[in-house]
Amino acid sequence: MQNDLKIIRLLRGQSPEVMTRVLESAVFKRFKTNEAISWQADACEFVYFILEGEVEIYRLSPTGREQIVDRLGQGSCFNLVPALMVNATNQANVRALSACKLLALGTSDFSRILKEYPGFAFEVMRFFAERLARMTDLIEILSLYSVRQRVAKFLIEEADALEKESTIRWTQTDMAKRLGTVRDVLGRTLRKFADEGLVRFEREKIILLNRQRLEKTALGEE
Amino acid sequence: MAEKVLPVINKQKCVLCGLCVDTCPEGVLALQADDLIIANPQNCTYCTTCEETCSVGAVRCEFEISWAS
Repeated sequence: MQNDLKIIRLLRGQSPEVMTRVLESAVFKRFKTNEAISWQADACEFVYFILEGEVEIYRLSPTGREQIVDRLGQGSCFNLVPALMVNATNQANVRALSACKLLALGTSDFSRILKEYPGFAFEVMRFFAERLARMTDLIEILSLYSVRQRVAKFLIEEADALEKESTIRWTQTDMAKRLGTVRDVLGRTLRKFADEGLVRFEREKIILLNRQRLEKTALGEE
Repeated sequence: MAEKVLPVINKQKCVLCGLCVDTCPEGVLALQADDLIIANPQNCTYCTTCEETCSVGAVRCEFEISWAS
């Protein structure tokens, strides 16, 4: 069972004592594809570690428009931020993108384990630092980049992630939600990229043709 | 030969409005006995019009994004 936990990046390299404490306190939960895992503004009860499957974290505007905040796969974790706040509520909605097996650790157990094991607490701080950097990037992209730049940057990042064996696939609707735009605009931008020779569509694949030109496009230089 | 990738229909979300059937330029989809089916998969060009038309997100046309080799 402890070997299963080594899939979780935050727990990898932790002592057997930490693993045991987590296993003693946590419960396994399974979710079907598209099932809601948690809702924004509900009381935060658990920290979740992803053992199998993929989840999507998103927020809704008052008019129902979605902004995808992140997509996480096996080995990742979520809901750590509200877990460390007093009387906190979930910061976003989370749904299962595929059948998921999660390890759910109660927030008070999570806090206790952090206090007992400073090494683990340091890993959590490192995790927060990385997430903060990611969110800062997202803020920069959404507020300072044009849609054209955002799409180019996104395509480069996703193609690079695929080379590192990411399995996440995107619909054009999903891409629009991730990039803070609407599907029509996203579709037009992709078609323009194809016309300009930056990408090629091959049925269910978007093939990126020219890294240099795409990087210049992401910087607004082309 | 690899199986042809087709749009994925979420039957739980589908409200059987038939808009995707009407807008598909190749006649791929059909409503049959309270079910949305892919009636003519051989015609599908993966244009994603069905996904674009669906107002409830019941149709997904997923893409893999990769570098040209």
